[in-house]
Amino acid sequence: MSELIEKIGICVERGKVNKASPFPPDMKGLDGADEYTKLAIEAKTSADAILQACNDGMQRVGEKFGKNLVFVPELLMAAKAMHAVMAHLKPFFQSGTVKTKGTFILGTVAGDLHDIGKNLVSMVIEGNGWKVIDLGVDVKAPRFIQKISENPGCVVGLSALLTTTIANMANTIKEIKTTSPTTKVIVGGAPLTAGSAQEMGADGYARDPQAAVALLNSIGVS
Amino acid sequence: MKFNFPITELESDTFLIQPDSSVIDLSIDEIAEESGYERGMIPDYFRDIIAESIAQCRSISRPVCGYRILSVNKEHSSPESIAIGDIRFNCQKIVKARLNNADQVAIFSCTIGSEMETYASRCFEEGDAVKGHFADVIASAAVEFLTDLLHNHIAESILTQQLNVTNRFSPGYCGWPVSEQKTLFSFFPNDFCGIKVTDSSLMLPKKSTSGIIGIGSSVKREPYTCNRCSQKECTYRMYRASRSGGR
Repeated sequence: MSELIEKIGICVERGKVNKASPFPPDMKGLDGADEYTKLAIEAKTSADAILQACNDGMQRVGEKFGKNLVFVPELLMAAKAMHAVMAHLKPFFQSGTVKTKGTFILGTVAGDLHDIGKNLVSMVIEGNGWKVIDLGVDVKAPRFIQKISENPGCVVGLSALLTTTIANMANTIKEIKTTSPTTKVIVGGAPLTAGSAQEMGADGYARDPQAAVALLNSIGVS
Repeated sequence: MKFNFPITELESDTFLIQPDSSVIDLSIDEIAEESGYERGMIPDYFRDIIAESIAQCRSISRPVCGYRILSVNKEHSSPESIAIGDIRFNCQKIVKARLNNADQVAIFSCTIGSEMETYASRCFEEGDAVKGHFADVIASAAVEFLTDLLHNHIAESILTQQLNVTNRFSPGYCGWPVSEQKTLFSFFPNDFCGIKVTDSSLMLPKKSTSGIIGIGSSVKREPYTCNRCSQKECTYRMYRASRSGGR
């Protein structure tokens, strides 16, 4: 059983989604996260143990990403393998046997229509065991506030790529903090720095998807 | 590479070019390098996806570009700004220093249309995030490639007058506020190149460029000095690095 768990972790780390996937080349033709998770569940492995193996796999690929040993495509393949596992674990989440790490509400702020960076963050965070509610692009503060009220204890992520929409990001944080002072807000996007994030009242700044995961895991949920 | 496509003069000194999408010439290696991989180190699986997305880009993009030649009002300019008539661009020192000797400027815009961004979004929606990611990187590289062609075309078109061009500079880069995008587009006819500028100065289609190129007898095009700028993750910086083999 522990061997299956180990293999699931390796498949997530290497981005081996299923047997049909030719990636990574040295695992071509072998079972992937999909098949091993199915076997693990049939062997009555606990869903928590499977989830932990996934998180460990994502953690390892994240560390490689931080050292420039792998790049965004490998990170996305790992997230895809994690999704394959999650598909099998869905019934356990629905029954409450296992729980997500928390809810992450994500969106690109008002006036900004860039979505690729946000989509990458969404995939990687979801792959790390968070429930992600992606509100899309050009999201105004009231929409964030409405979703926060529907998801108590959530963490909010704001994205912006334009210097002109940084002001909208700051205003969104201000409005969120006014109506929901305990809600943690993290930010990311090309024009931002840790300093500017702090100045606008954000609880954290993530320069890439893996940094966002580390930040979320350190913030946790209330 | 030269533009071998009809050039339309819309009004005095304002030109529009609509090349075929097959003009976009990107290599797998340069896209791989823009994604972080050292030359030859990208897995074949990703190489195949890049090749497919480059072919898609050459097939579905709708490139359009254009420019307008205008005289510089040196009296109204400053060490941090360049004036055209009564309108002043606060382009900041890095840009202005390179436009100092320009007597004229070419204000330009380029786009590859919205097709590639739609394609990238669809890839994400269908769960193929890797393909979506590469489609986005390729689309960005494609519009920069198109802008390179336009830049070269402008340089060649003024050679007969014994004039040279500077490097090109865009709002949002090198400290030039992106909000001046609106001022820049005010020099073009409405709907020029099919590009619209939003209230937040975002160009739509997103895979578009705009900017300014200095023209004069004593200006020159220099190697890009991106290391002088604080924007380490800048798309243009990565594009240039992939074409020159270093950051």
